[in-house]
Amino acid sequence: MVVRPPEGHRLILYAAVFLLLTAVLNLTAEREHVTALEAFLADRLAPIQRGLATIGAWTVKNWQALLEWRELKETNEKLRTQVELLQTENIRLREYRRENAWLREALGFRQELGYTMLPAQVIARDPGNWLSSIIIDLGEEDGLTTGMGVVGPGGVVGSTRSVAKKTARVMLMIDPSSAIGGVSQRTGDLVLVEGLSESAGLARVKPLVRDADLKQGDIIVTSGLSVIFPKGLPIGRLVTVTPGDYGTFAEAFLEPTTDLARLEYVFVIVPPEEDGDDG
Amino acid sequence: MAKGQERDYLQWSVLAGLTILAGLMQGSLLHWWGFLGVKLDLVLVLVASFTLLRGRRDGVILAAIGGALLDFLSGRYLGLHVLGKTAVAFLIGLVRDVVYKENYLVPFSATFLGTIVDQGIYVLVARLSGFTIGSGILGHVLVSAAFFNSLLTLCVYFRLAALDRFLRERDAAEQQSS
Repeated sequence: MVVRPPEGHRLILYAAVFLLLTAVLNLTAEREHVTALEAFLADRLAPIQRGLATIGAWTVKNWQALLEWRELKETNEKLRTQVELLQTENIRLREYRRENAWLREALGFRQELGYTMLPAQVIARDPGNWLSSIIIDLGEEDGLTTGMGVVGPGGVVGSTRSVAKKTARVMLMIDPSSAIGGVSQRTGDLVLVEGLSESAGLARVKPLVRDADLKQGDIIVTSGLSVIFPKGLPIGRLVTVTPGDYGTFAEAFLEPTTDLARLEYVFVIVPPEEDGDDG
Repeated sequence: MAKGQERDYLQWSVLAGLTILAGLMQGSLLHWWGFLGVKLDLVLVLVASFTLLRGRRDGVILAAIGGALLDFLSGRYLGLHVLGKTAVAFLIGLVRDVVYKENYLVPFSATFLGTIVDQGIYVLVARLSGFTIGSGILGHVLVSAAFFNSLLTLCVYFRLAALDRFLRERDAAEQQSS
């Protein structure tokens, strides 16, 4: 026979479970390693999540194509013209790169060679509205570790956090706990780019120098002061800059150059082998 | 296995299966269909609906299953989704017997308030951990998520009620025949 506790005792039981959960929550906020059960589930659920993500991406793409078919022909013509222009520009940029490489060598700059890019598919995202992370289909077996940079078609995406055998969680740059060192492409001022939340889709920009000169439309790129990201990768574009009192800098927000809401594939940056000196 | 237990097992397999599918979809498929920057919370919609249909105990169990799955998929605060979802099931379960469940407003309001409680707990824990979430975006997400989750509940609540009725009637018929 099952003995049911009285209502008052049940409330105490609920309260005890609540307190226990709260304690567990505080202990598991920011973790570099997932538990064995989480890793097991993540690896086993990865194929299902990959399938669902592919279905979602396929449906949205085709649905949008169907809705926009009238514009497609016109866009195609425009893009052809643009490709021709870009090809011309590309040739010019190659020439600049060659010249830049020669100058770097001449000035004794350390070459940023040795970075390997591993392509990965985005198979899931954080199911909530506040924290911003994605799950990719590469893990320990592919050589991933915690703290590797991840980039997308437009630039910085985020960095790896918890890594299971076959999957890894990537904290996006707009996650509230993310912070990346950046530099204004226009002025060279150093800044810190901090995430806000998934729903905001923006990041807050804090200058690291006094009297920073930041303007709306400025491009922020990686500073290269850490080994996670090579120097010069686009992070985002400033969308709002609010001046403070007496002309000092108050607040700025950045929109990522990569569309983080529509990521399908990303590249994980494998840093060069440690050679004893700090990057 | 006794006949009654077997029937119970079947009912729970369907309900838990639905909740797990909802959790998996929420993390992979649903982010393509965000509304005003917010994602639909399928697990919460199921928890709110089944708590109204089946009572507090069943609602809390489903909330724990769905919440645990979301916690594992999220890989961050272990137990945060469990806490939010079970709190919602518990609160809806408290008022379940004093409301008229066939009225459209009841599932709508239950999910609306449930989303605010669930998201509120999430934000509270995040803020206590030092995360910055602006007040403007907070209000926008809370209201938008509550509204869209409630609309989704209106679309699925009566279908879930029909499924629940079907499972119960099937069991009742089997019980009579045995």
